[in-house]
Amino acid sequence: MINELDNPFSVTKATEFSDIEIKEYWVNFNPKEDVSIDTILNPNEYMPKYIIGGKGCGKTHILRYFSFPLQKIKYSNDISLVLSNDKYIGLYSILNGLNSSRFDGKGIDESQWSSIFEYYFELYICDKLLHAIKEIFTALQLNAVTKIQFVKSVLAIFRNYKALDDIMSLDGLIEFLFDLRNKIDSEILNAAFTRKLNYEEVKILFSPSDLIFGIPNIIASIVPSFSGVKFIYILDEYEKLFEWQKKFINTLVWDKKTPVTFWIGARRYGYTTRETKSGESMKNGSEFQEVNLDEIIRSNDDIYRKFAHKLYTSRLDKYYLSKNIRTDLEILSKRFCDKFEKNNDDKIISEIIAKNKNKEFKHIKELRKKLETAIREKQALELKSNEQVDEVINQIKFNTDNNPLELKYKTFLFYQLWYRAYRGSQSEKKLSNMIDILNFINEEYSKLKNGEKGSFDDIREKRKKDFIAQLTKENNVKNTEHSGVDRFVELSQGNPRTFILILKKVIEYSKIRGERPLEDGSTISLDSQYMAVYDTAKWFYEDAEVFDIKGKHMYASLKYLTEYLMLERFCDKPVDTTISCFYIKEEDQSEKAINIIELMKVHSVLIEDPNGRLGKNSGIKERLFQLNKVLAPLWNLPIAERGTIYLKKDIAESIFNSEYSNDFESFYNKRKGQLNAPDFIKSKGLNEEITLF
Amino acid sequence: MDYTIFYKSSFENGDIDCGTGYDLFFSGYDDCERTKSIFDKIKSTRKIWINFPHYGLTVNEDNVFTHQSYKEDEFLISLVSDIDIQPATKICVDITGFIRPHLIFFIKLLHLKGIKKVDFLYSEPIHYSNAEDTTFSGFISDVRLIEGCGSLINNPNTDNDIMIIAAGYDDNLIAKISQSKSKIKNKYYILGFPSLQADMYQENILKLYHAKESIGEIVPRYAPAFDPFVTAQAISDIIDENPNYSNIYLSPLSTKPQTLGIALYYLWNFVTKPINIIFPYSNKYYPKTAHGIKKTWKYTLELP
Amino acid sequence: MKNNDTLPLYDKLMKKIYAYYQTIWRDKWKEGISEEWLMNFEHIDPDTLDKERINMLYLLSKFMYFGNNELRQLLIALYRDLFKYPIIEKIRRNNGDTVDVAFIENGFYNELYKTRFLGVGNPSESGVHMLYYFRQEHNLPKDFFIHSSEIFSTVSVSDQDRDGNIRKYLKSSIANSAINRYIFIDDFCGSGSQASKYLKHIVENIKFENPNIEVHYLMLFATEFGISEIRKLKIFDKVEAVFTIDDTFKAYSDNSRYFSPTLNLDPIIDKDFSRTTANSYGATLFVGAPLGYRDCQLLLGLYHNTPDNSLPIFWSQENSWKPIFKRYQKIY
Repeated sequence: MINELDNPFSVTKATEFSDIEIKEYWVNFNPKEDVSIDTILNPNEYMPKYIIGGKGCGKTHILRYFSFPLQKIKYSNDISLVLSNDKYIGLYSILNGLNSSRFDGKGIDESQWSSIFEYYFELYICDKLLHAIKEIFTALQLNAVTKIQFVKSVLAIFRNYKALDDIMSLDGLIEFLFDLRNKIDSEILNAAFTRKLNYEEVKILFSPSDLIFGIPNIIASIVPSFSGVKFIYILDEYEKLFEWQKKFINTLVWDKKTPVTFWIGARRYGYTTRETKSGESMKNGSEFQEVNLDEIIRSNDDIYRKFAHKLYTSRLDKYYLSKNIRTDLEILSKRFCDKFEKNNDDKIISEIIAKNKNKEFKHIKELRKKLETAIREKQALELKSNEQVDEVINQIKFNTDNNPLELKYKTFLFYQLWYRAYRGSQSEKKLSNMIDILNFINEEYSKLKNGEKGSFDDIREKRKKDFIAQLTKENNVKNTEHSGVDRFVELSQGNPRTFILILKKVIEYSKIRGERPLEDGSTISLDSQYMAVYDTAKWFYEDAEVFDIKGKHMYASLKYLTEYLMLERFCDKPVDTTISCFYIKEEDQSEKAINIIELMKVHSVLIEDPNGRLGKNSGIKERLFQLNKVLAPLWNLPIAERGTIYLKKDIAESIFNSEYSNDFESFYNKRKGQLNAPDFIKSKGLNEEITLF
Repeated sequence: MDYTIFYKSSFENGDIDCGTGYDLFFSGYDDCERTKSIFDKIKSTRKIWINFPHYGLTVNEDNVFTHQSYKEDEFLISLVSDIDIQPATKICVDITGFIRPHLIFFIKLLHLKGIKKVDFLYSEPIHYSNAEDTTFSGFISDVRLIEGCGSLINNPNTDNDIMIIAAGYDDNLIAKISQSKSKIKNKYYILGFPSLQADMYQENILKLYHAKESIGEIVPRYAPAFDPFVTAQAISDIIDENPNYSNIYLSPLSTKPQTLGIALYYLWNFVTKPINIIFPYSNKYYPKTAHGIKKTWKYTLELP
Repeated sequence: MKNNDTLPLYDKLMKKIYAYYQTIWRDKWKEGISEEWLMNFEHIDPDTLDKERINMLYLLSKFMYFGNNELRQLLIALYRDLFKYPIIEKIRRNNGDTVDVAFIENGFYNELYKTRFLGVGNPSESGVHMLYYFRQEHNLPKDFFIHSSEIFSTVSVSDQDRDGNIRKYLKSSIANSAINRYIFIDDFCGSGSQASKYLKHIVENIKFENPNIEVHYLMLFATEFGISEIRKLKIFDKVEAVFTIDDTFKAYSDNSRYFSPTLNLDPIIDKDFSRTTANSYGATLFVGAPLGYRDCQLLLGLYHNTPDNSLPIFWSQENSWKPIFKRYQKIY
């Protein structure tokens, strides 16, 4: 039903890959010539790793790539080669499989939950370990004596080992652990009704971490092939645990004993504590190593571009090979990139002209309305009547051939000069009546037409994108500015899944519109590209895994922030061009506001520039953020890192601190007044610090 | 077991056949005409309105049970604490205004009290206030197993985990559930078809389609939106097709009758299979989302 | 202060249509997507044209099409819910609420063997094609399906009249006396008039021969009106539909679900304008019933056909109109 169309980009999640596909679709990422994911993670060292990354950064793909099933594939199931060459066994577990939220509530206090969880966790993780060992023992054809010796040594860890005499095999041992877990599972289930745990059933039978470190140690000492072989517990989905459960995992990492080490996979938002149970914090670099995949990928645009290029070419190659078409990769890639219809402003303009065939453009209507209001308010300089307004409009229209974009340029300059007539500073060009203003505009405009230098050059160069955005919004037309593979790489901002998803959607829309995007000589329309970009933005917006009141606040802040940014772009007299970045002074802001900003950051809604921005006068470093580019199309906001706005303390608080969100509307309206005619004449404080970087 | 053999019947205008009458009648208060008229018409020695805090309603009725806790176990244990429930007690529950995890916990609680047979009522709406764009629930606070509805045998090998989602209109719930178990490859979606009304199926599809990137590929199965028994049967069929399951997750994100079907399947099977019922919790549900009353169903759940 | 996203309404609606094409309308995709249909609306004024197309696109986004896959599911539901379940319920009630599945199944098959299924309409029509699916889905033997002409057999009788003259005549009687249940299956019933005209005498004949034989009329879709008209005939023991379509499904009725005040519709979506548009184009497409047969105003189409009770702008091919859910004329 909702199954995927035949599409090289249909798989966007590692979960959907089988083990073999994990290997086949592996594309290494090389931040530097001699550095790759292999060398960063380096399974040859004991240093524990926390592998951190947002959704879609490739974390699961990477972790699974280093797991035992993949090791077996790599060595064609020759397990002795796995041991002798890789020198490690990667035991991949999904922590969410524990359903760890069970260990909570039911009228039972946290300390009881904590001890029962730790006990259960160990039994749980060791199940995977013992199954792997069983497989390895079979493959190595170990003799019965060694096997029994192993089982008995493990059982010796248990306090009641004397009662366990009848367990003589690895299967028996696995079953024994199963029974212990089973009792706990059933106690937890019943506790919802009985409101207590029956201790006789869940008595703890070994000292903490004796199994998890003890079993690998026993093997290493009795099976020679394991000498020097590491056991890497790869624990994914750390973010799904409670804080106290994370601290327990941290404690295991801290206490690790040879031959064991840990790789912990976590989403950025869930990587919330470095503390161990004793309250001490582990140190990055010495006690563990943090591998932040997002940062690694984003650290170098050029390398990400190359990586993205490899990703889509490899997908295309596999797709066409499955149809028995073999093509040189470079040709394949070029052919694909050439399919994308290029954005063309003229096309948008003609669409707008067609839509307004028999009527005045909205922006001209608005100008008329504003002048009429201004006359009533006595803010229209010498204008007194509607006939004079008509004359102004005629002057604005003069020589523009009724081109809506040209009209935008002229109205912009008109608004600017009108404002200056009342409120301009000494240094600015100031004209005191409409006739002069219009004459000046038309003189400058004819310079533009004649190819001479004038005021319009700058306007056209810097503001064209903003005005096209305004026009598309006013006329209910799609702003198709984002087109082509390179642009999609840029929009995805270092996130491979976002990139692949845009391509997936492009193919989907293009197919359904009958464009045959995967066939020779076809073109992928701007419409299809627009819908794909829009859908991906929408997905990214809705897919944030953020819960409860925090999530509510985050979305509210995002709403306020984008409204504020939209105000800057969609107004009569934008101060700066293409604003998508803002900066704040951290010391000004409340903890609550900073926390929400941090939350938006870990969910990649905001991207922070690691270099920040140096305050002009203070020299103090200010924090600089950009709305994730992939989100921008939702609000028709720009993606270029060009214009930056300073969010003053109070405004930033009203956006990011829910306690002050009631103030937002008045800040918003004030700003709206400053940016739009004719209110800008009476508004105060337009000269906010707005700068380009 | 064939779950489709259990009794169900439908009634127009709320004229439900109550047999000789019930000892206890429970109904979730949602301020909809469809629940109020049933409450008045039902024959029962005792009738109790349950005022779930999620709706944020003040109830001006007699016999109202109110409790502040949003948690199903705390809320319902408190509800039954001063009600005498014996295995022979004749109970009827109008599930129309119930909160889904609470409904499931309630059934398990009654089952533990030795109840083997309960009548459930459900009134079908004519339409939802804003078609497929109707908002039913607020922000998700948490995704977790429903209390007392986890598995007795949690399998550490998760390679062949199966998730079966009864998928309704609330695409956000479906997306959140899929994310929370994002590593499960084998996901099935039971769609309510035939739907309550002819247009609701495509509205449902639109919602699912909208969440498709968070959900992943959809293998659809069908069970009528109004039929708990066919729903339970659909679950049973899926599980029979996947005998190598490691863990099973069920999630009731559609109509209340389908939720009932999930509870039914769970109670008949949780002793022998590793079944968990998982739910994306929200502390806010919007009352008055349904308009009109088409007909009222009565389902008799027979428990093991 | 508004934070509405920037996707224009036209594209928002188009997105829904694209979603349908990838799901329920999948089998329609090969016929080309809906933009060609939208080009049928060609008002000369560009503003009105935009409004026309947006309003028609809105109607299209509400159109209920049930594809091949859904049709099969509906046939499963018809069999399971309207036919099989009532028999099972009876068996259980008569046997102390038994849950003995084997016993129940056995009882059901006894009843099934005494049942015959019949299509409504002549064998060349799509309804019969539907019966084929029905048979396939439920794995039923071919001889459980008969044509209405096979209900009766005619025997030649010769006897003596009162005067002792030998007389010969043909007598019609139930062909298979073991059958105690006939199930007529239909895809859609709008007004009920055509189907009842076709079935009335057959059912009356059956009842005349043996009043204990049950005759059911089961449908996939039926309007409330149609059902009540057929029930009024008082010839069927059971008249039911998987989906009952009430007045809210009538596009421009006072309580139309498509224009309900609770919907948060964009102001450009205008019920009166929509009606005027559908009516003016419809007038040339289906003479005498611009909004569908008997003014039903439905937005309904099935895999194998579109009822003429739906708005003609969706199905008509008159005057080189390009339909999106083409109708094949039904002959009774």
